[in-house]
Amino acid sequence: MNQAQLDDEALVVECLRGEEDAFRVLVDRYRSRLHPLAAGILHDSDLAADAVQDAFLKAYSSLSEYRGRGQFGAWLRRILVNHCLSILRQRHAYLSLEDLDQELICRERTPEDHVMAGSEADGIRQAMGRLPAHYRAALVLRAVEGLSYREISGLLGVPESTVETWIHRGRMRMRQLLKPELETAPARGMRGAAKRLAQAIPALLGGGMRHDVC
Amino acid sequence: MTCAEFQNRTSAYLDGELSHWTRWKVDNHLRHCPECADCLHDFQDLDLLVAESVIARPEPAHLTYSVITRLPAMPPAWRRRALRPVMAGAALACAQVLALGGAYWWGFNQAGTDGGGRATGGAVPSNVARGSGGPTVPVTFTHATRAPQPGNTLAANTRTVPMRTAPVRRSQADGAAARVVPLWGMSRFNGLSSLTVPASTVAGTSTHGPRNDSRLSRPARGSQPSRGSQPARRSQPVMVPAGAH
Repeated sequence: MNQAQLDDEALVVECLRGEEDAFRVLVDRYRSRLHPLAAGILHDSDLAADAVQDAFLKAYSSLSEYRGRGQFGAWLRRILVNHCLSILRQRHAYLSLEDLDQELICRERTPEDHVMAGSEADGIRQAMGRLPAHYRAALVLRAVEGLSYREISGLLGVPESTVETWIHRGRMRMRQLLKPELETAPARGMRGAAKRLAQAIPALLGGGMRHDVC
Repeated sequence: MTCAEFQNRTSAYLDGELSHWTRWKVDNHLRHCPECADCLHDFQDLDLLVAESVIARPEPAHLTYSVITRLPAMPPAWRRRALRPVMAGAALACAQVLALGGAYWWGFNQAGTDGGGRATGGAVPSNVARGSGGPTVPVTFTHATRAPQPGNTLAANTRTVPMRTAPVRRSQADGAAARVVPLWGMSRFNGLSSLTVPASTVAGTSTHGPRNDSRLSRPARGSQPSRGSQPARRSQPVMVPAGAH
């Protein structure tokens, strides 16, 4: 049987036996899924790559703690999100619930923004960069990973009502930022762009996202 | 709900996080409010745009290589599995040692502090009693399984043990010479019917005030009560063991 056909639990067992190639299969299986999540939360592609790498190394070191209670992907995602949140806290970009009234906005343009300037996704990415980090994290976990408010609250460590508030405010802010820009350009309204992307996203996802339970 | 309040629930409505009742109310509002309906459609489009912008980020090709080359050395699985029962056994042994040591220490302390305990070997002076507090007097138990000795409760079938002072009642037969304390419950079931306390020792130690002898005295069960005497409600002094009834 090919290693790629093995399920995650069997590969974890092989990793625990010292088979590094089994972990290579797991990395190849989940890197394309974890990197966009980290990039969405951190709004920095290079920083996201480092975060994904650290998350994989941390997962490998604590493989013995994974007892197969949930899906391996959800376990990896939890490790990655926690690591991203710790990075944001170190950068003072993550606001706790008490600091919700203050809006710390990441206004600096990353090198990736300069490279992507002029593309269709540039405005969207810049708008996401202007969101407070906790709004962006909640919105990415909902829009990209498709997690429920309960799962997001478990990952971010805040109540579900707070998650609802963060997501709603993030959407409202994105709507304010994107609506004038997209609607002024002919044939580039939000509705038209969304319809085009709705056809492109399944191909990008490679068959659809798996919504694992945390 | 106002229009602004409905708009605040639009995200939860879109994500399917509302209850049936709230969802029904938002549904009704959206049919009649084009502004909120437009907001809902914008949110739907925004989610797609956000997903596209996140997924379209270029993924570094060297990610797998950089992870694999930095993997730490993992300890062999057999070592971890072998250590688990050993650690569990060691923890269990430690718990047993602690439990046994604690029990021995507790028993040793109890033996040293208890006057009638094992440390003294049962050699308790008959005129000395020790307790946790309060006055104590030597008392005499009357064993119920022996034959009654008329007129003498301190016969050969009695034994004297120290005991804490209990509420005593003056015996009609002994008068001021001694007080007989009836025993009920398990003590009576075990064969002890009453205990006799010397009056000289008991004087001034009872927790009760002065009592009326006529009220406290009552003949044993089966005999006719004397005229004028008030029967007590419960335990009465008896001069004969329970086995005589």
